[in-house]
Amino acid sequence: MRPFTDLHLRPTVSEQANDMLLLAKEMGYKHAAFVGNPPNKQIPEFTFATRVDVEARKQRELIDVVGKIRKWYDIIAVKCLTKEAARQAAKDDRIDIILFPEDPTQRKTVWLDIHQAELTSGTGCAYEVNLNELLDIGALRLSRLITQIKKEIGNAQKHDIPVIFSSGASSSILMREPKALAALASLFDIDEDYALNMISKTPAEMLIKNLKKRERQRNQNAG
Amino acid sequence: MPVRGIRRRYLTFTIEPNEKVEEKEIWEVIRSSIQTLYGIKGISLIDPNLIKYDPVNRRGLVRCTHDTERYMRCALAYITSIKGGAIAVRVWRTSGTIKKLRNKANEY
Repeated sequence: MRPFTDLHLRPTVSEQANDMLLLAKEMGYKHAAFVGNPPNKQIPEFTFATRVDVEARKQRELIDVVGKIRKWYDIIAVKCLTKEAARQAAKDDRIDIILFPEDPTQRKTVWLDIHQAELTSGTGCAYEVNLNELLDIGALRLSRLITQIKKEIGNAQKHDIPVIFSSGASSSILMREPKALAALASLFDIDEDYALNMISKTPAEMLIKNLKKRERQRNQNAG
Repeated sequence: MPVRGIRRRYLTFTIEPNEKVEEKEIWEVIRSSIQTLYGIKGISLIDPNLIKYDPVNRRGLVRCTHDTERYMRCALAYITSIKGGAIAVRVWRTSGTIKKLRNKANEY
């Protein structure tokens, strides 16, 4: 069975995080990453990581912030609000995930274009699409966003950049079961196997690798 | 010469949270979701049909054609609200026959 992983859960309080953790397990997920308020309990056969979302505009600002927070979180994601920040994020191997603005107009200037993809391909940094960007928006905006994401996924595939599809859910009502997420990925005209990898193999490998890396660092610091 | 019938796929779903939703409303929202994502042609390809909906347990059974199950799942997952209230439609089981679904889940 595939190790289904949702790398972007954003609960507002810890109790909500616990509910989301249980629901994720019930839905068939094996791993998850929480932003802000991680759950305060463990459940068997389920691993979760801590994640931080950094919104960046300036190159210098991004370098400083990432340097300060890298050791505190398992996964670092950067939402690139400007081209300058996007280029820096692509070059920085401390960053695990890059994402782009939800607004299609803003995304016309800051997106995973060919040059961005070329820069990103060397670092092992993944490109993330969030379901919450697609929900509750008008048909016109949705169609524009789908077109944009299709182009970005195409560029990512050309340059072997790992692509991740997460829910970005801020409550349990916005969470979707793994097969539903894979079905929603059909909107980007990608085959089912690739879509399933976007929510299982690719994010799971990243999460496990980062958890092991942090564990090693903790042991080194303790020793 | 015998002609093979269209193969179908049946999906059981539940509505969350505990919101009272009528059968007509849920059917309307499913159809509208398919239309938003795939258009009129999509509706004809998917050929959706709400077979049964139990408003008390908020469980339903929906049908689509065999090769459009992915689109049906997508349309169900895309539903986020009904009558202004936030909901989620979760598919729990799929099968090629209603009988198998009944045997497996004992839901109906």
